[in-house]
Amino acid sequence: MSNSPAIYIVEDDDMQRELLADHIGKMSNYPIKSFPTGEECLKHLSTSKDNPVIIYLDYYLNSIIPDAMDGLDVLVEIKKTHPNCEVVMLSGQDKIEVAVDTMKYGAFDYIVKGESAFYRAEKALFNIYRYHKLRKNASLYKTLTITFAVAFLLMIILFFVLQKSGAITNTPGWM
Amino acid sequence: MNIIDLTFLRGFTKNDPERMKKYIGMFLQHAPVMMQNIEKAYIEKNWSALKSSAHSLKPQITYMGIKSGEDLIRTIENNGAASIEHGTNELISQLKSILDEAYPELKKEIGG
Repeated sequence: MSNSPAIYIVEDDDMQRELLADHIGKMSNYPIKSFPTGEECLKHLSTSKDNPVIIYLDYYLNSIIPDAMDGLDVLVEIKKTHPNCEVVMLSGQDKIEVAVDTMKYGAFDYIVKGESAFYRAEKALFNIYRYHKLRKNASLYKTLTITFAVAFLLMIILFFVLQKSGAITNTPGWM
Repeated sequence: MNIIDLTFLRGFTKNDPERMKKYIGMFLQHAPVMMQNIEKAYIEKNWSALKSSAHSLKPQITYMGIKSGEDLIRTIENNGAASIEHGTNELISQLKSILDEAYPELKKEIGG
């Protein structure tokens, strides 16, 4: 069972990876694990007990190793095994079709690399925390509603059973 | 006039000299290799490699505040993506000379 929360960064550029890990490390207490390729990330996901809260995933992961898996393929694989894990895509290109494509495959957000990328990465982390908290609260309210509905139904059934058996009548007790 | 503008890096590192040194050091180590890869890709007319190498160098140039190199690297990347040979060699030469000017400025920043 995977249960150790963590933050993953999958980025083939050393400097970008370090900068992001440095920045996000100051925002969160979760351990940060960095991977230069999607293959290494997927291997770690399948063998560790990690349950990443968020994965920052580079869109182009083949600038160092030309035949490395690209970000979109890694995203698809992550979503197959860890559907609840939120993936934030990083790209050097501000292209709407790339952003739409990543969202279609389940990415939570799409960030264009540059000076504002770190602020946006931080914002995405905050939004994911809030989204998960809301989802947790919604699940709690759903459970409570179902519990009350079942209890109410049982009370009605009990009332009819007691009424039928004569244990209670429509006549008040003092008459 | 300086080629580099370290406003972003100073803000990011909160003027921590060790962190500044770390990132400038990484750039000084990686950028010449990436520039070599760009030149090699152009000579070999390997457009996807040219695009890929330019794509990797692009954000680093931004982080080091090498403003005069930003448009050049973006155009080189686009030319690689579109397999455009015409004018690309000149752009690569311009970028190289800008980076060659930036390196000593960066080294000076970290006391190297």
